[in-house]
Amino acid sequence: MKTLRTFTIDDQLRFAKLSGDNNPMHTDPGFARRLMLGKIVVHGVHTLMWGLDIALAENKTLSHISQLKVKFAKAIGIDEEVSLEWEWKGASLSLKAHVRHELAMTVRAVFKSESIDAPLVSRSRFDKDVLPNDADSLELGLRENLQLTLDSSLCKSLFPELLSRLPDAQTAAILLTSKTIGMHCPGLHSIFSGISLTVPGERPEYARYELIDFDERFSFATLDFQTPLLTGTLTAFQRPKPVEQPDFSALSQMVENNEFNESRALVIGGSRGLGEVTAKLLAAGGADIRITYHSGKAEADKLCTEIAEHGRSCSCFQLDISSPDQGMDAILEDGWLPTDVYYYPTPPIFQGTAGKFSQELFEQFCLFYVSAFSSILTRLRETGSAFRVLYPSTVAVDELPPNMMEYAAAKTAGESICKSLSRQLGDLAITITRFPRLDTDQTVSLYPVRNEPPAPLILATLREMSN
Amino acid sequence: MHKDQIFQTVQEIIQDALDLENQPLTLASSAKDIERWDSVANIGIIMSIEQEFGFKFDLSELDTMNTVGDIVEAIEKHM
Repeated sequence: MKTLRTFTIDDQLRFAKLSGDNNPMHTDPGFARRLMLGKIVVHGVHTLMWGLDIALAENKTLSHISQLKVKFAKAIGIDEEVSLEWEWKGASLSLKAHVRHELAMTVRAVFKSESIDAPLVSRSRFDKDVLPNDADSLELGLRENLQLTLDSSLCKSLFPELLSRLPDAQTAAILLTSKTIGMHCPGLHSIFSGISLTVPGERPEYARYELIDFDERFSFATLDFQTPLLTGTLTAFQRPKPVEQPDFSALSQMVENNEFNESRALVIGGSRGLGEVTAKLLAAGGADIRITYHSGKAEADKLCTEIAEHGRSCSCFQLDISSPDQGMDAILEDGWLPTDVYYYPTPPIFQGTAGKFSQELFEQFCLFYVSAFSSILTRLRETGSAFRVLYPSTVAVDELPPNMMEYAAAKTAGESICKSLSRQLGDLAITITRFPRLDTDQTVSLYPVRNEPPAPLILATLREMSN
Repeated sequence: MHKDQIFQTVQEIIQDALDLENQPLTLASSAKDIERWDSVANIGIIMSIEQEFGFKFDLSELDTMNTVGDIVEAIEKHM
């Protein structure tokens, strides 16, 4: 059997209320945009319970779970189409969810028809203002007692089959796995990896968890998880935090006081990452800066304030890459014309699948690296003013990593546009720099990889352009 | 343990981790050939292998393990 759905932000908020898992990666677009998927991630347990609820509707004799094994393989973003397939063999359920044509979740569950004595659960509601654990390090033996809680009316609207069929203590226990990982351990910086639970022979009196293993190599946590009707292990990664780039004071140590003081620099996509570093380096060297942002106004304002506090000039403008004219009009409205343009906008770059070309993904990259870039250059050329351009490319163009072919192909197309424009318009100097893997929000990884610090390489490029 | 036995065990672990349902692997099989074998799945595979064989790889070893054959050789060195 098969079905499709998309999870909305409203779905997410309701599940957060039901589960008590208010981790902002699941509910706050501003927080989630700096994480690996670049947008709000659906709770893994939300997908799990949706799947169990749909499958149970077909098998009306089963009354409790005896075994539950779950692997969360890929994050599912809100507004993405999720495909769910399931198969019953007697009382055993095999269930898979796919997103972006990739396996996102596998579930193997065994149910029983016999009734089971079930303890009562709390009917209280979770406090939505509780913040997740933000600890940097996790100590083995970390443990907490937890409360099994189930808001029946909300559960009925989200998972009616689970509510009517399973003991409340089992439904509440599955919900509690999400809260345990997302709010307690690892907490704020967690990525749920797996669940392995069975009905215990000897029932624990309380719900509780304990951190029983932490593999430092992969920041991978294993928790012993106990509730009266489901016990076993939960596994999760402690994901890297978003990358904080060096502050203005640190970067200004690398720059001569006035080495860029003749530059009026427009940094497209300047609120964070490479654009942020570029803006700080240029400002430290005396340039007059204008940056653009898409949705990160708070980060852009913070950057402008930091630069202004050091007596330098920086202002920010909202610019939407899919229709850049309005943003460009605002930037140029007061007659300000850039002498240098730095172009950093990008979608999340690690979205591809090895061996599969996605036309949709390629077009998304081309919108950023080709179409919008060309539109902005055309708009600036119409001013009649001369300017230089940095087009940051990538070593992926040469190395062709297996899951980055759309990205590499779009960057290659962007390079071709740069070369063609430079050739056809003799007064337009475009510098193309193929950067290696640099340390930004885009390149943080669960798997240990080496990223270069961006500032030295960007500074070398800025100096090359200004000479 | 003989190399063939190690390969067989590794193959089962990878098939299970990637939900490949008996899709046969070879010593030359690698993450480049199998779309589900991404970096996160690789961590699960490594940890399952370590649990099965009772040792832990160094991070430097992981950099050299690009194919199933590389994994089998690395396990042999620990046996």
